Amino acid sequence: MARRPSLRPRIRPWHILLLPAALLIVFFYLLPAAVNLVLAFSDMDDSFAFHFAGAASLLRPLGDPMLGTILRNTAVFVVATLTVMNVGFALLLALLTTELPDRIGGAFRVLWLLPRATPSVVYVLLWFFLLDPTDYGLVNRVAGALGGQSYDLLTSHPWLVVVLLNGCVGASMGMVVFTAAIKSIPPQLLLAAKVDGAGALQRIRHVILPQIAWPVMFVTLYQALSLLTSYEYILLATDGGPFYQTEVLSLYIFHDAIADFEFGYGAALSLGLMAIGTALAVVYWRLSGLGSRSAPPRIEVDG
Amino acid sequence: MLARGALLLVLAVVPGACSCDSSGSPGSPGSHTVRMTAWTIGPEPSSYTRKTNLLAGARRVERELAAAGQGRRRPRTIDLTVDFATTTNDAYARKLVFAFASGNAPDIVCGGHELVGQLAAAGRLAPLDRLLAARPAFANDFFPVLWTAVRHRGQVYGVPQDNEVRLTYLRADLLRRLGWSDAAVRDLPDRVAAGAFTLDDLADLAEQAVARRVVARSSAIWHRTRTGTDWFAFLIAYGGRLQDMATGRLVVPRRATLDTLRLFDRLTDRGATPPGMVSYPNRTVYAGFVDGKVLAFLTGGSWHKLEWQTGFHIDDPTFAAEVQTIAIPTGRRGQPPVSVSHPLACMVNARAADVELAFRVIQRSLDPDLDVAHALGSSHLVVRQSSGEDAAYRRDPFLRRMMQLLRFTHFAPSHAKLPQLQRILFEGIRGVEVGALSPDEALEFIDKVARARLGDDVVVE
Repeated sequence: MARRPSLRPRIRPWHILLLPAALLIVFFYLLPAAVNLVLAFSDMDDSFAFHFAGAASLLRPLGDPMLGTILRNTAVFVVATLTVMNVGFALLLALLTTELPDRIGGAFRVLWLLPRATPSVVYVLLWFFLLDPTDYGLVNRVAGALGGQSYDLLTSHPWLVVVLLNGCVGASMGMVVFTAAIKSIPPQLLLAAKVDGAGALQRIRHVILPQIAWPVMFVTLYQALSLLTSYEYILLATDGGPFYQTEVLSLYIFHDAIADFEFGYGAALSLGLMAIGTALAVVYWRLSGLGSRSAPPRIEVDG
Repeated sequence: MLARGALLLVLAVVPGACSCDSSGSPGSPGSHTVRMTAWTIGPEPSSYTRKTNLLAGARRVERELAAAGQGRRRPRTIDLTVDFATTTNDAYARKLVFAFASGNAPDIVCGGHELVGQLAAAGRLAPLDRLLAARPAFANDFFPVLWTAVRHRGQVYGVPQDNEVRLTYLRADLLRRLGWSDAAVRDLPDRVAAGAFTLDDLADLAEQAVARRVVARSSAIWHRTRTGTDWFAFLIAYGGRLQDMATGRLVVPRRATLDTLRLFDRLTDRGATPPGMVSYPNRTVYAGFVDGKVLAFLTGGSWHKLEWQTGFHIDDPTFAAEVQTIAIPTGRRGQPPVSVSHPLACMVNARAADVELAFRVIQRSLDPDLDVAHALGSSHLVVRQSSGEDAAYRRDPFLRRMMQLLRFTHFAPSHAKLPQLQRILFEGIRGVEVGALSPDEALEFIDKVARARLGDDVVVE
């Protein structure tokens, strides 16, 4: 007599192994997203009273006179920081430090990890010591000693400061990932290229970059999404100024939801940010073929 | 069974979770301790007496309770924990709002009087009218105008803790280098008071100082770098009003706002004020003025004197000789100048376990001797008329001068959306200073954003 299939779901070991991660995702990603979705339909303010305001609340950002400026700033911030620092400079650091002997290259990489390891407030204060617009600042002190004029870079070139300040932190992640990727390239490939007479730039272009394409694409996507929601250093350095010049969407949400206590409005804007992030990830995933590059291995090992 | 277990668990946990509770005191059988929390803020460290006065008030109430405990009531002790914040007022307000929402707010809240509008509107504060009415000698001893700053929709929700005035500081030494006689420097406050020295005159003076190289370019007039009530002073100086008293709605006065924006446009355009003033760290701004590199600090507060003396080492004789103080000049010749007061208020959490006891602690923390000690120690003004009679207080020439400026003072409106309007006005001024907007464009920005963000809470006129 055949055994009747049990109606009770069978708990397998991998279910238990997945449970911590699943709980993490549910409580810290899905649940906040769901709460945000509900809040976006309300006009909740500092009284914390929930009043359902319907689609009108959700669409309120479309009537915001500053939204165009904020979205443009966000695009400038993400593209500039990503290309110049988080990927470009990180790649440069990885290439240069892997060319050096291991101990010296490692020491340089540790130095570039310092901004990430420094508390953000302390890190920004150090930048202020450098960039103080009067002759109390180090840059202006040096400029003055050399007979130059004073600079107020936070006002005259706020994007330069914001991109450098964020990028010096962000570059370290790319640097670590790219270094690991470069070091995993089979050395015979690089040696063969050398034997064939390839110079340093040719080795980078024809051997290294094709070999590390996947990590570069991964870091690009990961850092793009990370930058979209990043505002901490901008808040501390310029607070979005001067006059909204460096106010990005995530900072604008912070100002609305937390500083002005417009939680409903902040949630509606956050929903927009989530939509932008998701769309960006999907488009990038499709265009770059990132999914096919991370296909599962064809060999399966049974334990 | 399970429900009873849960109930027992709740009963066991809840008393420990309450912010204000009573428990037996092991040291004195028959007495009990009332635990209470209070939050207060500087942000300047010299205002630490806000904390110590509350603690002293609690000790005095304890003694009163002990004396009254001879009869049926048991003697009590008050275990008061006071947190003194040195963060910004904005960050402090944020912390309070979230603390109230999460049920973790202290029993006593001391902060800027604008918090009354924000917290009372949300039902977070206990009305104090009944308690004040029961203590007429205490209530009537305050300078009457201060009660308007702690009133919301007709009810009193706070007790004024201290007062201050916003004013303009000028370097007398730099004025002398511009050719001013000692008498002219001395008479300046009277000319300002009579409306004979206006904001335009101050701008002219700043341009002269730059042109004659008495100060470096962009170092003639500096101002605060954050949002705050100070910026409203200019709207009043140009004849504007901030609130429609009939409806309670906030007001954006277009004409006065435009004049204000034109003033800051002129100051930056002609090299009196740096375009990036708001990005200057406070430390830099204060050092610049105290070091005699800047002619005027336009939006100072009375507390700055002590903050500069403790943090930037300018002693009393030097301060008296080299710094002149004036009300913020009028924008319209012949009209009175302006000062904005931003009194601190002590409020009681509507959910405090013992509202009356919390109120009594506040009351005793404002005893005249403590009121005077705080004023002298932090360059603030006393709130009680009897404190004003104190000999040491009356001898202090700086505080005497500040008291004179009180006649020009205005309070920011009590409205929950005031901080948002402050920020919008501040952004407009910032836009003009950095050259991103012309004054007319900045006015349209303020108009449009205020309407979009504040809706029915604001009227543009």
